[in-house]
Amino acid sequence: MPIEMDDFVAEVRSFLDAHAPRRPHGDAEVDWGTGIDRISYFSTDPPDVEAENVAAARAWQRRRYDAGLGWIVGPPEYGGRGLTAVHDMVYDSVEAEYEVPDTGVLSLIGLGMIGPTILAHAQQQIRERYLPAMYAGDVIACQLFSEPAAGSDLAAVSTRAVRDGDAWVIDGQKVWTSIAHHAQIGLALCRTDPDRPKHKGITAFLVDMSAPGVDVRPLRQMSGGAEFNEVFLTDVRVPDEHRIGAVNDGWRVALTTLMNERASVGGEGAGPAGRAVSLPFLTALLKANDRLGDAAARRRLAELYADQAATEYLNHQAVRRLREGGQPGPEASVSKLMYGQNLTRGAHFAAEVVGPRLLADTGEWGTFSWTELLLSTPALRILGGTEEIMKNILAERVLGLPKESGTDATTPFRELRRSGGTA
Amino acid sequence: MSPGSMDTATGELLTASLRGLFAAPASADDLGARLADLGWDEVLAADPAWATTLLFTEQGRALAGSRALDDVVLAALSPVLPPAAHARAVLHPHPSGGAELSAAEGPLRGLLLAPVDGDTEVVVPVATGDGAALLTLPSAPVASRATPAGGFDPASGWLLVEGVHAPSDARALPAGAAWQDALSAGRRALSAEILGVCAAALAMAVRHTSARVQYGRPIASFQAVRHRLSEAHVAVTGARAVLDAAWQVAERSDAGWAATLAKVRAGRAQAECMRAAVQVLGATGLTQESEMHRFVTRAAALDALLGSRQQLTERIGTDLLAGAAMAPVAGI
Ligand SMILES: Cc1cc2nc3c(=O)[nH]c(=O)nc-3n(C[C@H](O)[C@H](O)[C@H](O)COP(=O)(O)OP(=O)(O)OC[C@H]3O[C@@H](n4cnc5c(N)ncnc54)[C@H](O)[C@@H]3O)c2cc1C
Repeated sequence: MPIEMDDFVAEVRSFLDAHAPRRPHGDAEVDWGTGIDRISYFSTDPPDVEAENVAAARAWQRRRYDAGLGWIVGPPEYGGRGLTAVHDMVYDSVEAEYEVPDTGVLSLIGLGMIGPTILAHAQQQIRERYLPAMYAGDVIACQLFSEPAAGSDLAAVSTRAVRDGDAWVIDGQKVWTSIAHHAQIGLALCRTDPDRPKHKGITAFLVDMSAPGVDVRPLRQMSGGAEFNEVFLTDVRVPDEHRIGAVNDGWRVALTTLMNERASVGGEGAGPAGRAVSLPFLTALLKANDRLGDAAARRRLAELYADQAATEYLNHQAVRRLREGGQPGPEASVSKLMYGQNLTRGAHFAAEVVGPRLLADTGEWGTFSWTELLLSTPALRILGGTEEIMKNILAERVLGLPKESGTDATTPFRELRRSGGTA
Repeated sequence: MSPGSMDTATGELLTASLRGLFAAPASADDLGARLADLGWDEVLAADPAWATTLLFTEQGRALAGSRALDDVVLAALSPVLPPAAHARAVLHPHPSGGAELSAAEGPLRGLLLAPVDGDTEVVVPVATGDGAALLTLPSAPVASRATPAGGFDPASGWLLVEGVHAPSDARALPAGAAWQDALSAGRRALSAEILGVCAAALAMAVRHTSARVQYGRPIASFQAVRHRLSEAHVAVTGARAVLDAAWQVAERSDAGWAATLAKVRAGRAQAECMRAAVQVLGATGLTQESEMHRFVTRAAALDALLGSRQQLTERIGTDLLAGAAMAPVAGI
């Protein structure tokens, strides 16, 4: 029952007018020197502020859901609205005119990556139990993929899952798990058959993060944020119905998540970090530092803008395909690469404009906060598959170049050479 | 740099002693005392280029802090300063302004490497109508306006000073060319320190990528990883060559130009080197548990002292366009 776009926009506006204030002015202006001097990609807030932000995100997602706007493209039987990708994008662009809580803690991983994976691979009753709860903001999901010895080489996971009656017992360690400390469930990749080649002996499970044996320990990032964690799994019992996909077919499940992750990271434009590549903000930065007349700075500003525009257009195309139910392909690696590069260049440009004042926390607005961003941009070239891995994917899967030599895709997992994760 | 007048065995011995000295945690002042115990002054007198480069390289490698940069600057200023009655510290130019000096009338601002107190005299280079001059202030008025620099590298221990007013009877001694010499000496020392930080970060990256196995092989065997590290090495080696050249002309009239170039190259090398080193460590390098972030922030903080690479690059460009005759460093 697709509805007319005009009617949809009117519906969205009346919902937003009723529940959120409009932004004081359009995107074209920046109020330099006022507001929150924060541009970090990751939360560096103290725990109580972070908890408040999570609560606000959940409440806002619940509002959207109750109004039929929580999962615009999702199937109605799981709480979705059943509309098109275009409706979804229209919603986002209208919502951008309003002051609403940042829902990244829910959307980036849970709704952007794990939700689509559950929809594609889980049994009916698991979809019914979790999808509506996730899109209503009640259940936050995390991604339990990486391990100390399995980063880029994700198929080398060694966390074991052993069958025990109608359940599985999971033992192992996950690492770099973003938002695990807020999550109720996690999608875990586990080794179920070490005698098969590494891609063919993995099974995916939905783990209850409050189950006995799940131990979440925070890891602090160099930017100061503590958004990722180590997760220790010791004799964790998971009912068989929480298995996602067939036994030993977990790699296929993981690919769905990873493709959505690349699209999700590459498509992430909003958030405070978006400032690093936003034309109005960078212009205000030049103005405040008396550099508007500097020809070299102007040229770089324009280059950044062009890079950003190219990435956005590319994303629009990709998001549209994705939300229309298509699977994101290897081309998602292009936007991910471009996004990481843009943010890095934007942060370095700003650092140059601000100059060595960046090094001292003088309390001057618009200077020191860049250090957080500068220290967090390297993460964007690593999370969701490193820059090198993105380039390998493009080389092999898009350009059709020969694979790098190596036999480890056919050797039984048990016989592979592996290492710990120490630096 | 190889020891000139020093024989190899003595050189190795001193290198080992310095590493041991920096390996033990100590305050900036303790380090000074330990260097004195080592007889560092004699080493320095025997071969200033080798000794200074070694000292600062090791300080950088160990991420240590000391007043060694004060000593370098004070040594260059000694022809115009009266003999010291007490310990001396330097109020270096405030990093916001590059190497720009506060006006002699004040208010004065700048950066201290470590806290000052008691009898310590603070030497403050200032700008007057007739060029650079030196004020010597008691520690109290400076210490009372000092706050920890914090910011990017809180571990540096540096302090920022703002709004100091010199006592009305303070007399600014004309510094003549000595301030330019001090700047050059400071920039050569800082270049060595930056390159020391780079060497340590690169060594860590080499160790990590040689030990870490992904896809059944050490990640250092992937060309993408090796090339990044090789490029970082090229950047560091190039910068080191410019620094060596800057030492060779240290007594000549173009010493300033060469020292500035050395600092620019060291600043660029650290940016490239850190980007590569962080990337090849993967997520491990982004945690506070890893030492890597300390290399990143220290190298960037050192880059900002006595003129950052951006400020100095602009300076060189402006001078060149204004027709400055730049002696070719390679001419030596
Ligand atoms: C902020 C952040 C959040 C994260 N959140 C999550 C999460 O929620 N859940 C989760 O499961 N994981 C998460 N990760 C982990 C992330 O997926 C991994 O860090 C990433 O896949 C890289 O693995 P690694 O860190 O072990 O690096 P490694 O794989 O050890 O790589 C180190 C270096 O070697 C290079 N390299 C490796 N293999 C090759 C190759 N074949 N060719 C060329 N170069 C190669 C890499 O590009 C990199 O430069 C997160 C990471 C970060 C930084």
